[in-house]
Amino acid sequence: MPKVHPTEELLNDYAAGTLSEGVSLAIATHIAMCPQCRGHVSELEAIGGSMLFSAVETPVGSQVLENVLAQLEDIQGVSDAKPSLPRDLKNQDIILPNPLRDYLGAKTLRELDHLNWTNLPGYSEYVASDRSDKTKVRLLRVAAGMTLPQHTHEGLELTLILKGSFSDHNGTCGVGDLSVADPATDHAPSVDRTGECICLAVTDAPLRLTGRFGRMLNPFLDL
Amino acid sequence: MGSLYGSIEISRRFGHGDIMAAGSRNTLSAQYLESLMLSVRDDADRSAFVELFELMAPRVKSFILQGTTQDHVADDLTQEVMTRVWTRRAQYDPAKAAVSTWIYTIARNVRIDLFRKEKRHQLDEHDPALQPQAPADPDRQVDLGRQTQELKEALSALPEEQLTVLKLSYFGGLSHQEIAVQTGTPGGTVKSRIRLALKKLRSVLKEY
Repeated sequence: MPKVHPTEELLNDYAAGTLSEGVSLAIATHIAMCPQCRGHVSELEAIGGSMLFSAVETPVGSQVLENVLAQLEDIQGVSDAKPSLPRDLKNQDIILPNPLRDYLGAKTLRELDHLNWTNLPGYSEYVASDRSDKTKVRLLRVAAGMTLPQHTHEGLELTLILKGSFSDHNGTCGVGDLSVADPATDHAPSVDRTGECICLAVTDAPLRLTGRFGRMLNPFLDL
Repeated sequence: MGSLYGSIEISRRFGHGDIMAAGSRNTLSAQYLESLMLSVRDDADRSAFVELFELMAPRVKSFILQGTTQDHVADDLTQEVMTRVWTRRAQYDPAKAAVSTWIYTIARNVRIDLFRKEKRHQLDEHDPALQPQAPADPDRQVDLGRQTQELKEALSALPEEQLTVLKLSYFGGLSHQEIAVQTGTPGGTVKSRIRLALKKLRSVLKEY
């Protein structure tokens, strides 16, 4: 069971849906591996639900219900709740949590080998995000006993362990642990000698704010 | 939860209590929403869906309108949310989330998918790769409908400054940092207001 968790603020922003795609991916993958944080997020979502329950009613255009009902005619059956799983799993191959499966297009830990890694001695990197994304999503594979390359980042960095373990400012982190570092954190994780470490590393660019949220303070709860 | 008939009986008893705000045109009962949603899920009942639409779509639109000023965009996104309520009805589980919570998560994801043009890689509760939760105590029956009503009461008891930041977070879709800029409030103050508000609301949940 994971021992190193995201901050309460990150879980709150995840439940409210305000995180960037990459950070949200790291949190979703962690909560798939962490029942404790999943329970916490469920509570935060219930709070969002109670706010929707308490919302004022804004009249909806008369065509909206017509359009929805017209679409139902075209929809055959229901979307299946069960995700499809690889059938030809080899023994002990570990299935990746579904947010990460969808994002990477790899179903298991072993299938990560097929990605287009950039290899350096003792260290490999796969950049999963588009170059245009503000948030950078990478996979890192670090050999036993290595220290992760020193790097700087202006924003937040989240590192989620998929295999092995490393030690950093949070102590020893194992599979499922999510270590959060901000620019002030002295952050030089070193991988334990017992085996290689694969992790998901998400770096979030600092926010650039615009003034487009002018309407936000309108009353909308009916309390 | 009991039979459909039983749920309706419960909604009659709890549906018109004084916990709803005065002046509300449609008093909403979480138990009644659940009975409607179960008819939609189990029987593909269209008349129940129309009723659910009439109760929830105007509230979904209020939620969406916090992220856009354009009425027709809000209508389009509300349409998308309500269509997903129908197509994903098999995923509704009354033991896991109240109807309003389930629809909230759909509306939140629609806002991310379509309004922010980003994709949310959503956790699937049925994913076999999920680290399982400890099995629930079978004697412990959580009344999520009742919980929703009590959360509403707790929301209305929050100090205005705490409610404001909570609205900006959940409805406005703003991060803590964005709220600080938007309201001209120091980041630390925003964080502590959200923390205090959530602590109070989560203490309601802890009673279940």
